[in-house]
Amino acid sequence: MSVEPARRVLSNYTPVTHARPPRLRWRIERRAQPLNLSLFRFGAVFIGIILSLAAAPLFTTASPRSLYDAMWSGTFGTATGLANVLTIAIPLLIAGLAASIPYRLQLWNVGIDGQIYIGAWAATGISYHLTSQRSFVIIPIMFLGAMIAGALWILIPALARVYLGVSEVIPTFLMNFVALGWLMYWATGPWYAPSAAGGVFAIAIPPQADLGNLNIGSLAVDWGILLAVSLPILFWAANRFTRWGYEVTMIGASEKAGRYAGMNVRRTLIAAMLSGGALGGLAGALNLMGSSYQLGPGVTNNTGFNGLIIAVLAGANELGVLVLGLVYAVLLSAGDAIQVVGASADMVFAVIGITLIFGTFGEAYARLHLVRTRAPEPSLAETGGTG
Amino acid sequence: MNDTLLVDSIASAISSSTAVLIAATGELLVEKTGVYNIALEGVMLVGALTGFLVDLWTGSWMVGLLAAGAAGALYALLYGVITILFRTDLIVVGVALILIAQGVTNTLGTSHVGQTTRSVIPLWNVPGLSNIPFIGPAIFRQSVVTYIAILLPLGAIFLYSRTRHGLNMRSIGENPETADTSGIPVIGWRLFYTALGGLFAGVGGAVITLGIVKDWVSNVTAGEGWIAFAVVFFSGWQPGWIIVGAYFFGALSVLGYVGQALGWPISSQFFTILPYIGTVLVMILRAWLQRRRGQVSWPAALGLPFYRG
Amino acid sequence: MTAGGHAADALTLRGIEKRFGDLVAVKELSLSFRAGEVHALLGENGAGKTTLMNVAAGFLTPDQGEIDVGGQPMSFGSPRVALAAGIGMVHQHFRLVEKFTVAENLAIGATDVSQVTSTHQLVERASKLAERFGVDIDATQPVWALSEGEKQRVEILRTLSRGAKVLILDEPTAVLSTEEAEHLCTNLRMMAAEGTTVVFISHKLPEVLSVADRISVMRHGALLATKDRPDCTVESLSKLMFEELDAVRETLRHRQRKGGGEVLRVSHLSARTERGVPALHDVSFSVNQNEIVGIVGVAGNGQLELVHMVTGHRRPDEGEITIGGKLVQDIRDTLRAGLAYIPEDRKGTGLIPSQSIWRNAIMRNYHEAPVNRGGVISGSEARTLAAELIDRVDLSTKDTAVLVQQLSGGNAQKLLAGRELDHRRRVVVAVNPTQGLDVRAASAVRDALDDACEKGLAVLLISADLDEVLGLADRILVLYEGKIAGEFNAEEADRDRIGLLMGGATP
Repeated sequence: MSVEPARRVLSNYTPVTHARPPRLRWRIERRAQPLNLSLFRFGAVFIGIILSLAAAPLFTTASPRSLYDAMWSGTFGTATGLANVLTIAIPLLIAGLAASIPYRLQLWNVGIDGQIYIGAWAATGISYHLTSQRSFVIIPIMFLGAMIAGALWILIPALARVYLGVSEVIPTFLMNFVALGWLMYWATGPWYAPSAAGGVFAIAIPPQADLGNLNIGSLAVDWGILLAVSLPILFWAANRFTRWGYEVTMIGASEKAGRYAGMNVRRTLIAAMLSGGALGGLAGALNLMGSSYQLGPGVTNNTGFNGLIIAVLAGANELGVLVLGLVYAVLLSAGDAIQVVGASADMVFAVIGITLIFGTFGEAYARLHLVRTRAPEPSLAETGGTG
Repeated sequence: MNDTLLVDSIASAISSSTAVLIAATGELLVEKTGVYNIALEGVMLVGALTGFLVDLWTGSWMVGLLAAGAAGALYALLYGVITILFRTDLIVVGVALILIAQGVTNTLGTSHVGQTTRSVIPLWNVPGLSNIPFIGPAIFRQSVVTYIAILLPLGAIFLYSRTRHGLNMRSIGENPETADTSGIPVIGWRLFYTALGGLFAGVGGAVITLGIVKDWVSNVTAGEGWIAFAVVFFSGWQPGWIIVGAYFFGALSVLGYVGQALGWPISSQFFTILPYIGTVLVMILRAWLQRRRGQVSWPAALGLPFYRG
Repeated sequence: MTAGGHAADALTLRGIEKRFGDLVAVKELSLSFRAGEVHALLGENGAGKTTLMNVAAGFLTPDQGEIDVGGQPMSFGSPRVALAAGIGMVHQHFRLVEKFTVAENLAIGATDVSQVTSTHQLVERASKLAERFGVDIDATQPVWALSEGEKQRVEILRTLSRGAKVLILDEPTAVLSTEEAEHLCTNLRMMAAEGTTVVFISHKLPEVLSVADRISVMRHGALLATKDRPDCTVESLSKLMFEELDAVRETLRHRQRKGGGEVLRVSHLSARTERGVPALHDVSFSVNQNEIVGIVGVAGNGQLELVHMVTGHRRPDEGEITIGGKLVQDIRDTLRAGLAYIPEDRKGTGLIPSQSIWRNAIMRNYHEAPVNRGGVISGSEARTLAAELIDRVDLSTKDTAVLVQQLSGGNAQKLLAGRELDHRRRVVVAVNPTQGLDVRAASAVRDALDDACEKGLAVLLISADLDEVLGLADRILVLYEGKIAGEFNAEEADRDRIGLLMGGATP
């Protein structure tokens, strides 16, 4: 049996008499040297915010005047507004940190909401047993408990990631739901407190656990704001100046190089994850002890997700988290305020979503560029089909 | 009576799993080509509202479902273009699109909150089978959509095990460079399947408003999109297990209510969280069992942007 | 015969030039391949063989030049187009989907498979293909379970089944056992007999002589000669490959150095590659103080595994490594024992390009005083250290805040070498330290190595550059296929003999 006929069937090689000149095509490729990522990220977010604010009147029946007025008074215009911004900012900034520390090592902590729930739960539970104690005893212990709970909550996904290579995205994310279920069980069961306003709330934490307000003139915001503002700076400094921070920076930039330098990569990864979990728990405790005072599902309002987004947009830089977090809080507070004049809070979500997409485009622009290539027009027939 | 409760529960479990089943199958198709659509919950919401509104408009649930599918496909395509074509971050864009979906659908739907669906997906008694005592009413009095929904993952099984196209799509998800060299347009097919997955998810969302919950409230999908997403991971990217996963999750949630009604000492929340714990454990177990093989259970290129050359 | 090219040629390359930045990988090269021949492309590292064939197979776009297939011009820049024209290449890293079976891999993107198919059909098709091309495979196996040799056969079969009439293989026997290599060579001759053109890239002389019809020798991006097999001997080829060029040659350095006490000892080291292929067999040697031991050999003969084991990045399958008498098993051990490592991948492992000079400078001692003060990294101490380092190596910039990625290759390497060649270390492992550097930078690095050795360091130099090793080393070991093929003192080092050993021939 001759081999030739079979080969002819399998080969699509058809000679032509001339070569067609290659067509010019556009293609998206990575840049050899990325542009300044922070600049483009922040810039893009900034532009996104401006555009959204400008477009806001389109989405509501309220008059633009009343809309902007409400936004202003809800944020910088009044003391209450400013207080609202800062109150929102407290758990948000900590959540941002909870995401950014793992993110420095390219680890995604998508379970911050769950850590918030579990942290608040732990703090609540502890507070019930320490009702006779003074503030300066009860508060630190509650914080500690919340942080330990948060760290434990992320432990299994962290171990699975470091030792089995299981992506931490889904496990941390699914633990959110588990935490919510756990919280709901306690809040509707053993700790249930009937509430006139309806909704799910547990028995209130003892008054000594209340963080109390820091009063600056007519501005009243709870003491948690000090932590929320100082921790990002602290962590930034730690990353910059301590040995731990040095290792995180180097390993985050190149795991290979970290190993080469004798660093314990696994330990660093796990420590970063656990820190993220602990901070998530802390965020929950801060919300509980600063504003809600009763355990319930409202202890977070997508705060964890928002924190993650802030961390990504800030490029894991803690100072960026501080700035972006405050900006975000302003947006959210404005969103609260415009509901008074009839606009819906949901539009705020949409606005934030659009801003985020701007942000990612900004980053993509810094990383990629459009290239005009002589993507070859095959001068000979092409094999393979379209599947 | 306990019997009625059991029958009703099983029927309810099956019907409430339908939306998840459809959406999860769609997401499976997407993930097989190496892309994951984190915005699934948002796509389902878009479909849910579109289905509801078109149903209201036209008085036909069928047209509603179709419109929902189209809307879902377009919304998912938006996600696809932004992430696949522009190589942006999947998670951030996905979350952003969920937020946008929530914002837009809740706003557009405000005036309809609490309104019941005009034309509900009708139940259908399977002739003959539905009269079998006990099993009949439990399983064979479902909506047409529920029965069709089961065909989808079965179709996917056929697609991936017995067709040339399925093989090529799997190769995109495992090793897009090889697929590209073999003449398969990677970006094009990824976009196509992202849109197709969106179509399924949109229909799934409409099934919720038109068939399960039968009204419109804010955030009507209530996390079903996330459950569908988890089901895909639970299934190990095998269509057969999607069926198991979807019904398993549905059953567990119904079990929670049943337990409450029967006064069981176990709280309903236990059942709510069981599927999530289960998925995490299954993922870890799979990874642990397969570490010898050196292969991962998910499409090897899942989530990675594709650059040619 | 010259590469004039005429209509009967299966593939003709004309004036191909390919540059990577400043580096010219292929210089105006013209070469023809005839239908039905086995053509070997011979040369050592950096000769440009892989780059050239990547261009021919469409994986790279040349800066200049033309390609004709069967007399017809072909446009390039895409492997799909090249494959459509009949040119297929099998690289050292296979492009198979590991999860799929062999049959499935062969079916990806194929047009002769029916839309609705079955495992049985795919297996049958695969078996038919295997028979047709004389390749021995089991179509039902998943690829991840196959040996490297079997995977390679699948890859070859895939390429042929897509209609490749020119089959290019890049160092195919690198992953094969001796038996498999023989089997492959027989197969290749069979394919050639049926009309396929086989281009075989290699650095192994005996192999090339046993399988090729014509042999082209490349060096530094240029084609030196193309000869018919009968006109070649091991010696003549080796001479061509490794011949002393009349380029600037480093003057012989101190040869009267007397080594001190033993510092590094490697005993009976054996290991497999990541992919499970045996890489190193029972290798033993030692390095003393004040001594430079050079291990020379073409890349892929076990150097990688050897380096990884000596530096603690992996454990040996057999054997042990001691530094200063103490057993070392992981990176931490080696660091404690005073080992310094100048890796080949300078900007990927040894340095972190996205970070500043001072951060890179303290990578070795960030945990010690004075840089580390109770957990806090003292920026000023670190910068002082960095400034000293910059001074010592005469870096082009004096600013410690400059990012490493902004440094040229030469400066980066000077920085890396300077950091590692610290007098507090006891032994240095340097891998291809002057690769890709300009003459001045290369010279500076070699001087640094020499100085370090004078000051008492034991230096293990692993390089594919024979000139460099001849110029620097006190003792030379030749590594071929995982074994020490020969050992020479500097005085008795005979270039020709070493070249033969590097190519796998016995002198």
